[in-house]
Amino acid sequence: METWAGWFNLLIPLFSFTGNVLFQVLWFRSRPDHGLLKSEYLGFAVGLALFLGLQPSSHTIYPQSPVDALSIAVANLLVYSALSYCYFHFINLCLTARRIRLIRDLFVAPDGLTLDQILENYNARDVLEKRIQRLLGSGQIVEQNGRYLVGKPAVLFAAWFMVILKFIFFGKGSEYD
Amino acid sequence: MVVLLWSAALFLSALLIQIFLWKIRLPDRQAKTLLVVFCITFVFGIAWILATHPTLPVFGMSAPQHIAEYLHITLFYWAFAMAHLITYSAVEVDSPSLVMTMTIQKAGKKGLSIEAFKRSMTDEILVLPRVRDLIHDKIAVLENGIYKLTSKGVTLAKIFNSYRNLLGLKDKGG
Repeated sequence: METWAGWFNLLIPLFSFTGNVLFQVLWFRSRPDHGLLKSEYLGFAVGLALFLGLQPSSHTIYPQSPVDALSIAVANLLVYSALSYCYFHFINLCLTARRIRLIRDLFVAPDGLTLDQILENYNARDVLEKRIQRLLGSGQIVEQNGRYLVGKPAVLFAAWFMVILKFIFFGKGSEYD
Repeated sequence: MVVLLWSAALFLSALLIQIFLWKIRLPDRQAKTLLVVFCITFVFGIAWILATHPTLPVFGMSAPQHIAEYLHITLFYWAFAMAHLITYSAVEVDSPSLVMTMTIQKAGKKGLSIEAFKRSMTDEILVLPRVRDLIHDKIAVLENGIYKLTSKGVTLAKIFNSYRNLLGLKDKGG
C-alpha cells in the first residue's frame, strides 16, 4: 500500500473517534435532561457518519486495490468500534462503578474514613436503589403489582454474555458461586 | 489486508496466552497481569516481525512494510486490548445490574418481589468486596481502622472527577 494512503487510513478512525467524543460531550452539556445514554448513542452515530464519509474518500484520493480498500475499511471500522466501546465504558465507570464511587468518597476525606463512615455514605441499599431506578428508567425491568419483570432484554443478553465469559476464564458463572 | 490480519494475529495470540496462563493459575492481580501479558506479546510480536519479516501462516500474508502500517497495527491491537481489559474487569466482578436482571428473569412470569431481593443483597455482598479490592489493588491503605487513598488512588480520583466535571455530572454516582 502507498505510504500516504497508509497514513491517511491510520487517521480515519482517530478522527472519527474524536468526532464521537466531542459531539457526546457538547450534546450532554447542552442537553443534560436528554440523558447520558442518548448522548453516547448520538456521539457514536456522529463518529460513524464521519467514518462513512471519510473511508470511501481514502480510496478516491489514494487509489488502492479493492481487496486492500475493503480490508482497511473493515480494520478501521473495528478500531473505531473498539475505541467507542472503551469510551462508552469509561463514561459508565464515571457514573456507575462502585469502586470509583468509593475512591471519590475517600478523595474528599483527606483524613480518611472508617468502614462505618464509608457505609454511611454508600451502602447496599444505595447500590440497589440507584440500579432499580436506572433499570426501570431504561425499560430493562418493569413493575407490576409490586413485583419486577424483565422488560427489554438488552441487559439480560449482556448478563448471559458475561456468564459465558466467566465460565471461559474462571469455570464458574458468578464471583459468589 | 496486512494491517487487519497482522493485528488480529497479534491480538488473538495474546488472548490465547492469557487463557492458557489463566488455566494454569489464576493471577493474584488479574487486571495488572492481563496488561503485562498484552504488553509482552505486543513487544515480542513486533520485534519478531521486524527482525524476521515472516509470512503470516495460512493466509500467506507478507510482513508490514511502512511505519504507518506498524502504527496502524499498534492502534488496532491496543484498541482491542483496552476493550478486552474493560470487558474483563466486568467479568471479574459481578455487576449488580446484571445480577438483578438475571435474578428477575429466573423468577419467571410471576416476577420478583424486590423486597425479598433487597434483603438478600447486603453490604457484605455489594460493597465490602469492593472496599477490599481497593486495598488489594493498592488504591487505598488501611491504617488503624482508617481507609486512605494512596497516590495511585488520588490520581484515579482526579481523572474521574475531571471527566465528571467536563460532562457536568451532578449525580454522586455508584
